[in-house]
Amino acid sequence: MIEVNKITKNFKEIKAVDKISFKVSNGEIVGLLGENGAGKTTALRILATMLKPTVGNAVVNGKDVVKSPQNVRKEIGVLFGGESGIYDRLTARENIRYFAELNDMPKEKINPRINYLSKIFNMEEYIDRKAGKFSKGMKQKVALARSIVNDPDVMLFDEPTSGLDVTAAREVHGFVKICKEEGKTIIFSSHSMQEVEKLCERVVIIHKGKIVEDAKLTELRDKYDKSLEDIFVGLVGDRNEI
Amino acid sequence: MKFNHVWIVFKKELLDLRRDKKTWIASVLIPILMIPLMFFLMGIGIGRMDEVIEKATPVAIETNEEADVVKFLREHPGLKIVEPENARESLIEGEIRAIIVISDSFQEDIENQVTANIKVLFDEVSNDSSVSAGKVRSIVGEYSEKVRFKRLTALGINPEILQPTLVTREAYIPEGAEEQGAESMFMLSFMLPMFLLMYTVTGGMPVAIDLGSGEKERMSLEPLLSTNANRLSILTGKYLTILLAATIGVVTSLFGLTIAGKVANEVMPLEMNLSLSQIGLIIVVTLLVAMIVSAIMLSLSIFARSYKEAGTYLSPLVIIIMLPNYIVMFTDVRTISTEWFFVPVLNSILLIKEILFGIINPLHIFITVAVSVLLVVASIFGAKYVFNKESIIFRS
Repeated sequence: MIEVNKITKNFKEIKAVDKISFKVSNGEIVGLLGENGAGKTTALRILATMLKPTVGNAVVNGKDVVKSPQNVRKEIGVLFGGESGIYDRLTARENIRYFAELNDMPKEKINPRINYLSKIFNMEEYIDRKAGKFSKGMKQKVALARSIVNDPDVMLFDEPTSGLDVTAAREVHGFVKICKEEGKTIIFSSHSMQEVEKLCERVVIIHKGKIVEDAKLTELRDKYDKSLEDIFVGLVGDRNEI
Repeated sequence: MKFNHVWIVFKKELLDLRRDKKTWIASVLIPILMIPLMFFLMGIGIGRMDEVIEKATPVAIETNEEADVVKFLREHPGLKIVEPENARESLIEGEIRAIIVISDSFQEDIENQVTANIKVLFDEVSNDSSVSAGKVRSIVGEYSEKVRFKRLTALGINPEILQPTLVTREAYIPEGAEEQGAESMFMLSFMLPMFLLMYTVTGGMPVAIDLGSGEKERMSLEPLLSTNANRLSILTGKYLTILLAATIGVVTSLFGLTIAGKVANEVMPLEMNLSLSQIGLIIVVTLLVAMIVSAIMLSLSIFARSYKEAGTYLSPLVIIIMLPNYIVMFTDVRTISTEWFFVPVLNSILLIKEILFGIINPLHIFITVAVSVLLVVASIFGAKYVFNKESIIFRS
C-alpha cells in the first residue's frame, strides 16, 4: 500500500511536484502518466527516499518515507529506464549479488535466488559473463533481476522501457506482469499511453507537478469516451494552452 | 552507518578496481616505468655534459702571432685545436665548440706586464658550446696562474704571498649525531615529498572519478541509493577504496624512486640513514595527506555531473599539491619558522624534509599531525555533506 499525502517538492523557485496525493492499494498497478518534466521522476524519487519532500509525506507499507527511509527501502524495488546502471566490469551475477547483499539478503539465499531469476529472465547463458559487452536489452534484464532480487513488496518503475527496442521492452512488460501475478504493489511511470493501457488498471496523470486526473482506465473511458491518448492530450494540452 | 554495508561497497569497488586495466596502467605501471626512465634519461644528460667537459674540446684559435699562450693552448690535453676554413661557420654548425680570439698585442702586453686580452666566442644557442666556453676560460686561467707565478718568482717573491688565506669546507656533525650526507640529499629532499604527495592525487584520481561522477553518468547511483545501505555506508566504502588507490599510487612511486636510485644513482642518490621510526613518521604524514586528498577528490567527483567535468575539477589538484613543494624548495629546514607548520600540505612537505635531514622536532610533528587530522575530519565531513545534498546528487 502506498499513500502519498499532499507532497510538494521545491527545487529553489521551481515546484517539481505540487501538493500531489494518491493511493495505490496492495497488488494494484498504477500508471503514472505525464510529459517529460511533469514531476513523475521527482515523485518516484521521493517514494524511493532519494529526495525529501518539502511539504507533505508519503507512506509505503505503513512506513513513512521521511521518518524511516531505511525501512521504506526494505519494502521497495526500483527500476529506472534509459541507461540501466549496470557495472560493466562485473558479471551479471556479481551485479545482482551486490544489490542482494546491500539489501541484507541472507548469504545462503542469494545464489539460489540469482539462479532462479537468471532462469525466468533467460540469462543463464551470460549470467557469469562481464556486463561490459552486453546489449542494452541484456543489461536491462540484469537491472530487472537486480531490482527484484530481494523480493520487495512494492515496485517503482520509472520509464523502464525508455531507449529499449521492441523485444527488450516486451521483456520489461513481461516482468511487470510477473510482479503483478506475485501480488506486488506497482507504480509504473511512463509517457507511453500504449504501455500504460497494456499494463495498468488505474492511471494518475500528472502535469506541471499537479495531478490532473486519477481514475481507473474503465472509468476514464466512460467519462471521456475517448482513447487514453486523446484523454491525455486533452487534459495536458488544454492546460498547456492556458 | 553499518560496517557490513561499508565492507560490501568496499569489496565491490575493489573487485571493479582490480579489473580496471586503465587504472592499473595509470596508477601502477606508468610510475614504475616512468620515474626510473625519467631519472635514467636525466643521468644520460648529465653524463653527456660530463663528457663534454672531460673530453678534449674542439676549438679554433684566431691570432696573428704565435704567442706563448697559443703554444700552451695547443699542448693542453683538454683542448683539441682545429683549423677550419671558416671558424665562425664551424662554430654555428657545431663542428667546433668555441673560438679563442687572441688580441694582436697579446704577447707584447704580457711582456710589458699589462693586461693581455683573450676573447672566447661561443654559440649562445648551443649548450655544449656554452659549457665549453667556461672550460676554455678555466684553461686560460691556468695560463694566467702560470704567468703570475713566473713573474713573482722573477721578482724573488714567494707566489704564496698572493694567497693569504686557504679556505676548506667541512660539515659540522654534533657529538652523538650521525652524518646525514645532507648536501647530496638536496635532490631527494625535493623529489621524495613531491612524489609522495603527487601520487596521493594521481593514484586516487581515476578511482575517485569513477566512484563519484562515474556512478552518476552510468546511472547506477539511483539504484544504489534505493538499497538498504545508508548514504554514509556507501560513501565510506567509496572513500576507503580511493584511499587505498592513493596509497597504492604512493607505494608505487616509492618503488619507482627506489629503482631510479639504482639505475641513476648519480642523479638520485638514495643513501639514506633513516630509522624505522623516521620512516614510520613519513608514512603517517603521507597517509594523512592521502586521507585529505581522497575526501576532496570524492567530493569534487560527486559534485561533477560527468566524467569529463570531474576530470576538469580534479586535474588541477596535481599542480596544487606540487606547488608547496616548490615554495619550500630552498627553505632552510634548520631555521624554518614554526608558523609554517600550520599551513596544510606545506607542513607535511617540511616535516618530511626535516626527517630526511635527521631533524626531529616534536613541536613540528605535533602541529603537522594535529592540523592534518583536523583537515582529514573536515574533508570527510565535507564529502558527507556533498553526498547528502539532493541538489548535488541529482544535479543535471
